Amino acid sequence: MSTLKTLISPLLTRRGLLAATAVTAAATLGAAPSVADEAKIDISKLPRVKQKMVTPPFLPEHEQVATGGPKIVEVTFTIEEKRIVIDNDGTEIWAFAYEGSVPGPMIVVHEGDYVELTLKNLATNAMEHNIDFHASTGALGGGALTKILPGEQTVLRWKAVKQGVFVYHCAPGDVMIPYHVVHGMNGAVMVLPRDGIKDGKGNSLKYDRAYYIGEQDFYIPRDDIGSYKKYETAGEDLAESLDVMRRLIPTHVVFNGKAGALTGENALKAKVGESVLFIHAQANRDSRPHLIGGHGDFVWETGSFADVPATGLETWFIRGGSAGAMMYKFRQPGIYAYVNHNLIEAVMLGATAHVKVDGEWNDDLMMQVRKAEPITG
Amino acid sequence: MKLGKHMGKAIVFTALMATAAQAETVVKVTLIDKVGIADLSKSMGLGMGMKADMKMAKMGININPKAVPHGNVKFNVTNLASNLVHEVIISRITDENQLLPYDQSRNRVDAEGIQTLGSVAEIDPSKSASLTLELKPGKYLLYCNVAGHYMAGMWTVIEVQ
Repeated sequence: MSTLKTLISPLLTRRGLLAATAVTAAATLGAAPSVADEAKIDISKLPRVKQKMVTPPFLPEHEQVATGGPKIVEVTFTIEEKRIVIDNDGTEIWAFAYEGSVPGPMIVVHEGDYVELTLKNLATNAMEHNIDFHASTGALGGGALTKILPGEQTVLRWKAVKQGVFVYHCAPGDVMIPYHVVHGMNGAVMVLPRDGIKDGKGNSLKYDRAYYIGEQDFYIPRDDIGSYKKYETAGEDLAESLDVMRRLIPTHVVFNGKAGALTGENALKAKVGESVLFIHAQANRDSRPHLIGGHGDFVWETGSFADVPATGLETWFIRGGSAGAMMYKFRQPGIYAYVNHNLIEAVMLGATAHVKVDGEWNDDLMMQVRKAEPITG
Repeated sequence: MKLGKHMGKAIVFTALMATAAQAETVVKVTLIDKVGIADLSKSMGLGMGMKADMKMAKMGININPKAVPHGNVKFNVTNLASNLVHEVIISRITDENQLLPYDQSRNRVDAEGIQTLGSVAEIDPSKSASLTLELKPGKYLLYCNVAGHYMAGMWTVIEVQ
């Protein structure tokens, strides 16, 4: 038998070093004079509100224009390693799910607010988890301060200083970072300007509904005859998943955790005349949303509400590791398809949602002048 | 790397232990760490046969399936811990009530006192390795003998039918 190795000191590992740096930084913040102290005093006087998380594609109840000053918005995420079905053929993955959903729930705050997250890792889970908020500042987006083993919980507070839509994701270190992200462990945050979103010319924009499309690429290992493999416990698929991931070709690209999760009975709903805000998040891979039969009236492609939105777009680009927003006023009734316009991904891998719009048809915008008939002349 | 080194060891072991091209049963083994801030310098009293509440276990080994037919058994081991190096040692036992010889001073199972059939050593976090053994019917213990880990609950039993 070969030699036994005692546990390596956490401080001698790269991850250990990162964690140590973050702890030092946090300790410094607590002891620092001036700015940090002022911030601390302010924070203790701020009103606190609890935000109830809701399952995507829906957003938590929120104001579009903030009333009053900055708040501390309290949020709880319980991490659950659970088996989910990702297509209509019964293909499964052990997802690592913030609040039990893929994607994780959306948090909505206003610029200047504070997000105070209680993160819990269920004792029945097998792995360490954490969270990196792209909307936050410092300590690897909070990733270095939120590592928790099964059975542990932690609380992180961060200030929303950048307005826009942003992704968050788990980042426990090394190959576990992409492994967790492509097992559904990601979501989005929307930081609204305090006076609401604008059209870039100073005019306020108000949405009647908002939907959050979390796009997820999955990399499911196959057996010798090409069938997708199933696993009995979380983490069993690690080595085989990494082999599929290394090839960069997803087996599934889906919205809301499952092919068809937002079609048919589960289609998004709207009415003619309503303005709908669509937030599209992709934590890992590029995407190119397109609303078939409509447009992006206003598009914040990079996600920043501080930027002037592009107008009248046919298709817009979401960089892997980011979220973007689009607002569209529906002008015709019917079923619209909201897709990733790599049509292979939309039709063959799952990245299609439907929007069912009720209302009056507008012949001026479109009409069928003659029905299909044999060619004459 | 490191992966190459450990995989190399495991592959050599596999080659030595596997006999010819017989059908083998694959057992997926995952190594779990929930230790957090617990003190591993002394025994946590969660070893086999100690009738402890294993819900208190701070480390663990999950296997699937939990029973296999006799013959060649391939253990595909994945270390799901984020910082700790683990190992898996496989020994035959009489039953789950058996108490293992324990070296209190080193906080490890006294490996001299129990026959080892095979092992996968030094699996780094997030890495995998495998080991194939020809097993006769009976019960076998899988455990990690890094100091403190066995008594933190890092063991499980597989039945060979």
